[in-house]
Amino acid sequence: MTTTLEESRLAGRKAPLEAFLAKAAGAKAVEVVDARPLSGGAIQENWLLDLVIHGGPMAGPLEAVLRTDAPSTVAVSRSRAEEFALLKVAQQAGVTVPEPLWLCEEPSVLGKTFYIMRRVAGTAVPHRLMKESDLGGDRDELAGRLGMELARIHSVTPPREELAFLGTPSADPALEAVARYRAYLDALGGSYLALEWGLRWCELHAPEPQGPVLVHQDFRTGNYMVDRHGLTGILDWEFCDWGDPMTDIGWFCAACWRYSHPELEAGGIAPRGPFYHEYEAVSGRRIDPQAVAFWEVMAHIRWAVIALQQGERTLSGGEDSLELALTGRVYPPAIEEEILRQCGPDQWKASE
Amino acid sequence: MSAGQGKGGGEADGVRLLHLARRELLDVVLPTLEGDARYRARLIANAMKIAAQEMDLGAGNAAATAGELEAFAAGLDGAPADGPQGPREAIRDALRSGEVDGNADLFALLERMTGRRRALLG
Repeated sequence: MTTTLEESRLAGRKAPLEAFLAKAAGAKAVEVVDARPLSGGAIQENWLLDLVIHGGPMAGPLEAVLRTDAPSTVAVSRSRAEEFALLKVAQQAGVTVPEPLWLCEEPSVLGKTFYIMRRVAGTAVPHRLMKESDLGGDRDELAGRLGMELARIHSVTPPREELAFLGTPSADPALEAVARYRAYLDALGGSYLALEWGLRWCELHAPEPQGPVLVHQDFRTGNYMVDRHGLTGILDWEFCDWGDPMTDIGWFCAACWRYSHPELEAGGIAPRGPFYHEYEAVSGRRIDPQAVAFWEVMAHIRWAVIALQQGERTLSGGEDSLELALTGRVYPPAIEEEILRQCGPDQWKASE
Repeated sequence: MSAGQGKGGGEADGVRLLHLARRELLDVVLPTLEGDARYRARLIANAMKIAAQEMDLGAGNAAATAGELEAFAAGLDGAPADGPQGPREAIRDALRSGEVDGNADLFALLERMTGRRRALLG
């Protein structure tokens, strides 16, 4: 499905958008030649922009992405201004990201905050990565590269003035997560006993906290771009926080994010070895398999809670979305089976 | 997915209608669609499959689960069956308090419950 610029929701805002872009780029004028909405992204709205910049230091064509809020948002998601700040910090830390260019918080331009980033080549679609074995280049190298990128994200530590909105880091992210997800389940109503089983296991088996460091919190296959040669960019910075670095390792390796290749434990693309090796080499931090196992259980609990919250939006949130309703219905049973598989009675230590 | 039954007298029941509607959607309509519309049609077919399974098996599964939960909750401390909350809430509270840490019977019950819910997904 294609939408021309004239048909798009940006059509009526073309003139103020071009004026903003010209000023931000230090140009004489900027022309928005084309604007196409990107599908996907229940929380954010993304537009592919083809620009021509007249004059100034960036004169010439520019392929960009405009990112703004979708009509419905998730409370735990960072604002676009915060996401822009996170992208800049990540870029400074050497992480491969789409270059953040300009932030606009002036409501007269689009009616809501947005930012512009340079477009990166490739695709992030997981099913293509699963099917096309040459996409992303050599898969062990890709996994190693992702380990290196994650280590660079984790090199950012508090305090950081430009990330003050992240607040004070938790002293014990694992136990805080247990309390947070119990509260989310209580808010949803009903009793989700398999998730409660997993949460109690987590409460008893929480590892010693590491960090705090900047954690991406959605670092997984589907949230990085690749072309035929390898990685081109890490995406989706909206859930970043201070936290335990093993959170991201567990999320990346969790079975629920391996898609059709459960045997490839690093994100469905490779064995854990190359991913762990590069992460440890760049971060200087040893990966404790037990801590990762804990965070993989927590990853499944988190994903189940998110799926239920999405389903709930169609029940009491007033959103008639079949996609959200199916998310809340289809995913939780399989995730719960995985949680039970990882936390069987033989995996419990005696409680005190 | 169950193919459903006729109600007799020439009337198909709801499960049968959903089954036929889904087949029509997948075999006749879907091949004519592209891109996002094709994706949406698959979502609709999936929802129809789950709805039909639930109509067919849902009541029996729910009754089996309710009976098992009640029996397990009756064995918990604090006579939860006499309390204001149901067996699910009593078991949740027992899990949070540590009363049933690693309990093999509860684990087996949770596995059966999850298995029944997955079965409804086809």
